[in-house]
Amino acid sequence: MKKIDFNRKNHTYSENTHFYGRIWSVVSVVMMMVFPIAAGAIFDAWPTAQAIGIGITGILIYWAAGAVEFISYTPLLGATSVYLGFVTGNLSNLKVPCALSCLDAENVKASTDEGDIIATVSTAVSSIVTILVIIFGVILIAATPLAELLAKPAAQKAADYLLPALFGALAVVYISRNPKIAFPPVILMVVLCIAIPKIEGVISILVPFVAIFTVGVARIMYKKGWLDDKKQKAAPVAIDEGENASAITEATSDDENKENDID
Amino acid sequence: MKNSLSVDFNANASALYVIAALVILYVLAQSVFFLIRALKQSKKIGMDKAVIKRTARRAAIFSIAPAISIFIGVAALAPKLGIPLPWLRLSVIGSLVYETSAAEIGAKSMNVPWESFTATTITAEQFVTIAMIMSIGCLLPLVMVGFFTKKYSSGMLKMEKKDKKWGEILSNAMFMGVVSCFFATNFTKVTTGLAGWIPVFIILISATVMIIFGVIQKATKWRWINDYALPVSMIVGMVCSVPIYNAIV
Repeated sequence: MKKIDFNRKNHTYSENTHFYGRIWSVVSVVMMMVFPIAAGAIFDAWPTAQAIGIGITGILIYWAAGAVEFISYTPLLGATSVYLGFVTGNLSNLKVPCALSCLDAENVKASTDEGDIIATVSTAVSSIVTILVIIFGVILIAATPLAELLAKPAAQKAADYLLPALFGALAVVYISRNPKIAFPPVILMVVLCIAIPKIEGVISILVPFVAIFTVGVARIMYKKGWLDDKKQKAAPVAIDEGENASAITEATSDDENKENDID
Repeated sequence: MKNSLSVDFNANASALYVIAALVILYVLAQSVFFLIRALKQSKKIGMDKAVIKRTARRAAIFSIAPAISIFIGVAALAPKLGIPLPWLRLSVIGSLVYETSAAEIGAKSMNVPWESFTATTITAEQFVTIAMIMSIGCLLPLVMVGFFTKKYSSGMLKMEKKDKKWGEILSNAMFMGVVSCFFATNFTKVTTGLAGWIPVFIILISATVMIIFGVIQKATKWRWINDYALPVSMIVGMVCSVPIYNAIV
């Protein structure tokens, strides 16, 4: 059996990331079960094996969705953020867009040393802020009549529409930046979602296939030279949040396009 | 079925608050641990402090609107499950869609309609069953992260290094694949009538606000405005959903 080296001083940052990340992940698995087990022990109430069996069958799809998230987000976030983000949760609606937005703003990629640090700072700060906001809210609803107000349809509706509000804004950034890469999957999925509305129920499972489709189309474009800097046509509106680039650039020349990651 | 409770059950019992707080504290500690490591490493490789500060500020501003939305999710589940369980589940790993569905699956596993649950009538056994199923549902990704991240991320890094340009396109294409799925789900109800178009209207509103921010930034050269573009677009979209919904439905 391989001996575990607990003296981490002679190891690189990346090696230590995996070492500590694994420990935190394994302990997290235990921690996630603390609440139901402790509640069961305190109230001397346990689920029947049958209920758990039926429940697990029902949540298999979420295991698949979780596996898909792991496959899809790891290359985007970098290792440290993955270890952290998967424990803190709310990946697609918060941590991933937040980290990518921070990486874009500094014009670095998650796979670089700087990128790993930026993505980690973003995910950690985002988790801390989220936890604190929720604690503040929980104190408010536990101690004030705010709960009744928030249970009103207006507040619920506003919360329901977080995803279109988030992805509407994100679409402007990413479609305008990489129109050639963005349009094939966007058009495919919008058409599919309109034609087969039930697809929404299995969308998490479809994510890797759409990602593979997008990578495949991008690969063909790349091989044909359509994604080359000089051949890439200007996007009508190219938003760049980078400190080194203007927020909106009506790209008029090839030189301007070079500011963007791919364009 | 067990009914003999050693302690009177209450979905808002202080003990449940304490357990939830302990688990959340653990997750908070993990965030602080990795944040400190990243800060130390940034010094070691000579990164500009201003970059770290800007990133922290951006992430904090970006997170406020989604965090409030997640908290509203806690408030939505609280009348059924009490405050501690949704507070914990939505603070760690979960998302509102997943947690609500998992709770419904938990209710179904006991043949009890989800609609009939309230925080005051739920029994200890029902509560623990739902909590158990919600928790088990999030374990697989954690196990995968623990055991496969090293191999998977190293493989991706090698691929990116082999052809840098393609590596960049690859990760952008993967992200666009993911984004397009979540983006497109907002179009699933457009054939059901005007109400089905509401998410599309919200997309258009937040996209328009985003573009306006870009135009202002370009005209004024205020770079700081970029940090507020996404969060404000999101909030405007969410707030506008209320009058639009009321006008249409």
